[in-house]
Amino acid sequence: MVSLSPTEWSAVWLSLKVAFGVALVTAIPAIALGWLLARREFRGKVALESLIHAPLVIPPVVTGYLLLILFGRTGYIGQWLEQWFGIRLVFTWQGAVLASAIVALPLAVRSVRLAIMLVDQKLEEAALTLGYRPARVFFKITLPLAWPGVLGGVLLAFSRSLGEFGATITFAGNVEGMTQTLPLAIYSAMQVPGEETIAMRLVIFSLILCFASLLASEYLTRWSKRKLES
Amino acid sequence: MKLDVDITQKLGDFSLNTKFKCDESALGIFGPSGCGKSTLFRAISGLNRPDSGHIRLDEKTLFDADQNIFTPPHKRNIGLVFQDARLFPHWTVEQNIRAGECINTNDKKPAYNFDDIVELLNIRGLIGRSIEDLSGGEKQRIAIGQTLLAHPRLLLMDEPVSGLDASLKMQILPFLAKVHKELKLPTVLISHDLGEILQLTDKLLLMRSGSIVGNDSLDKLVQNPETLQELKGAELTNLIRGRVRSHDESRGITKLDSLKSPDQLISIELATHLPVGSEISIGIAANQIALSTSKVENISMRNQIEGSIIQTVHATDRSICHLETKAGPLFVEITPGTAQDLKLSEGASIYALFKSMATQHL
Repeated sequence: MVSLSPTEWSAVWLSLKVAFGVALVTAIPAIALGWLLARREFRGKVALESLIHAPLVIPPVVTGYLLLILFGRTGYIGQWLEQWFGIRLVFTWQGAVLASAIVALPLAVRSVRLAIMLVDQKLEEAALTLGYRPARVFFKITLPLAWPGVLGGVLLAFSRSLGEFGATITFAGNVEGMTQTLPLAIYSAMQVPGEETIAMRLVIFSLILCFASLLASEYLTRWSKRKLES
Repeated sequence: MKLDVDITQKLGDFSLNTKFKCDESALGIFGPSGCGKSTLFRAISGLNRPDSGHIRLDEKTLFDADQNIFTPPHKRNIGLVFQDARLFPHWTVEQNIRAGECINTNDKKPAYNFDDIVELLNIRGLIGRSIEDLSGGEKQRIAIGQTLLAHPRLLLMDEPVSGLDASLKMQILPFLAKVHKELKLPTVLISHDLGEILQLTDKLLLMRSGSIVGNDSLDKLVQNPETLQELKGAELTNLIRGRVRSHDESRGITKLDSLKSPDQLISIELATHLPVGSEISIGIAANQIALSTSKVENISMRNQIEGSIIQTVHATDRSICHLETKAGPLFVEITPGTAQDLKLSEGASIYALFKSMATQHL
């Protein structure tokens, strides 16, 4: 059994903490955006889609850099947040959550969008004629039927954030015990000669975590498809 | 029901241009597939927004393009039964039936409740089942129950039985008529089968290519050559109202007194389940009636009803002879040559002959 040192454990816990944070903060925007893209036609839809999907193709370090500009201590939003709420994101684990969430959001949105598109719109129409308000249709019909896919999407975001490196190191930094998540810890270990075994232990941990969450996400997506296509 | 529709809507190559008024409690819509029947229903229920015109129901404006009024579907309180029963797969049968129950609550005590609907549609045995295990006919009955329990003020049914086989139709159609009668619920039924519509009403809206080409009772539509032409391909059915007089089991027939003239006897296939004295409607297809200028002896057709010819109307595919008889007005499908051979002229006396087996109980 591989045993981890306290600093290594802290990296594992921090990774999980950040990943749960990402799952929490992406859930509602992913559901809202997924529904919007699946069910509504509006001007600027293509632009919004591109904006949401941009982090998939932009180098993560650029995403991190842009976040620094916006949310840094002198950034437009960062300044405002610190002045009014005393919230500082840069170089904190919450900052790591924000950076990972931006990178993971497109994956969650895609999954939610697909799940909602698979819900038969005829059922939503039937509910409307029964007197259901659109919001009620969403919460009683659309969301429950799309639920496994939505959960799968959130889990995908969780998995993605476990592997997030570029945006996190740029925006939140690589502070041991504060913002040093598993990938960052592996990177640091690899920089130090003689710490290859530490790096290897962390790599194994990282692989196990990522595969477990990915499997769960895949399973949920398939389950939702089966349920809706039957 | 006071329904006043005057709308246009363009959908790709198809354009709906529909104008009609209806004051009847029930209306049938008949027309070939693709003529816009379902689009019209979507507009009335609010699922589609027409491009122009208005829709009024009982003096309430649901849509008016000029005044920019559009009541969204969930506020219209119009029930829509679809061809494909749209049940919610994540709910049980009971949850599905009750889906709309608590939505449209008003101060008035509802005219019927869950138990009444379950009784009426005979679905008590399905309550515990899951949606996936239901047959098509069962699903459709649940869907009808679900729509009814939302207490709509108007019920729209879009070919509710067309996907079902004949025996299931015979299960569901009587329910629809019963629902309309017992719940006093204004109903509009789309069907490509005139017989289905007649079980509910003889008031018909004929549609073709997005327009209304006829709006009258069936016998009026059949009397007009133009609208008769629109009924092309439809099996025309006569409706005869009668009161059960007796059952003759040895001869295998049930005898009815015509409601129009009680001395006119009508024989139908033995139906002992009908209580003596009860009033029933029977259908007899127009192409199952033969004409004779005199009473015929020694013939197996039990029904020979005396009447006179009102007129004969010719369409491209058939001729329809209209009679006034002791059993009420009848229309009889004949080949154009028959009119000449029998020298059928207006006012001539005639006998309408049909077998008791050819009648169907509606």
